[in-house]
Amino acid sequence: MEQGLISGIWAALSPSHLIFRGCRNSSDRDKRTGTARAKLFFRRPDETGLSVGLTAARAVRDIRPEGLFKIKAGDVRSCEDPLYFAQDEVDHGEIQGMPLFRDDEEKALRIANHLVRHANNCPYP
Amino acid sequence: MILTNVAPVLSSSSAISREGAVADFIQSRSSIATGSLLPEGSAFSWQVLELDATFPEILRPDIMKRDGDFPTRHALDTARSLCSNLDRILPNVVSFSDLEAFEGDLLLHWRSDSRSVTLICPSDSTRRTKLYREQVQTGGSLKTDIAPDPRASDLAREIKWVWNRA
Repeated sequence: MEQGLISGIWAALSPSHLIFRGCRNSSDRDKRTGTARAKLFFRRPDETGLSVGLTAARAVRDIRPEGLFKIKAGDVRSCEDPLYFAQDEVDHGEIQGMPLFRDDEEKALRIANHLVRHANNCPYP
Repeated sequence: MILTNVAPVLSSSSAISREGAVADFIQSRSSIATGSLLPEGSAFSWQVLELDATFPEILRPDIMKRDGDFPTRHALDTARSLCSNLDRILPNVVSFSDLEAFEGDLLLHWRSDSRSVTLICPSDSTRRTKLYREQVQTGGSLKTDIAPDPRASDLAREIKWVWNRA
């Protein structure tokens, strides 16, 4: 996916714009505290980035949701490790810039912990 | 190894749910902890108990099928070994803040408001066990580092640091 091409088609998100990340597995969140787990923001080997929706409905459209978290675009950008939002549909995109956990555990955990700190649980449609 | 002693109990459990298996497991371990069933030379460890209760071996196939993430035996053995030694070094240690499995790896977290430590137990022996440390500094910036092959004494030191007791 070419970042420049995507940026040329879709307007950049405002810092307050909400991005939604659906949980595929019940273990993606801590049921005792309701908070996201780091693994929700780890990239898996078959992924180029983290799939996110620009609406709650889009974030859970293609999965059997076990939970849903929202995070502001500005909070994604405020990560010390540069992250990019690559929009590929009107209501969908990927957060890119994180390494595979196995390739760089420190950076992957640092990014995931940042996103966990800013992610808020929300009801899904 | 505690799990070896417990495996017959688990395998004979009539529990049909994760919660049931965990309850059976805790009951069996509690009786061992308070009674005279503890095999000579074995140390009881609440951390190991919690670890095994969170990831009961008997439910591995079910959880793998439903959730996809379950730590490998190598990851669990690594964590058990470090945690049982940790209990000897740091009695009454504060329990994990959270446990999570990812692609066969096992992550054990201890967190306070601004500090956290994560023990990363890899899925196999081709990768090294690592201890990740993170501190949110004044102004929101982060200070992180990661160290390979931690010993239980390293883990004890870092847990005390998380809880501001170092």
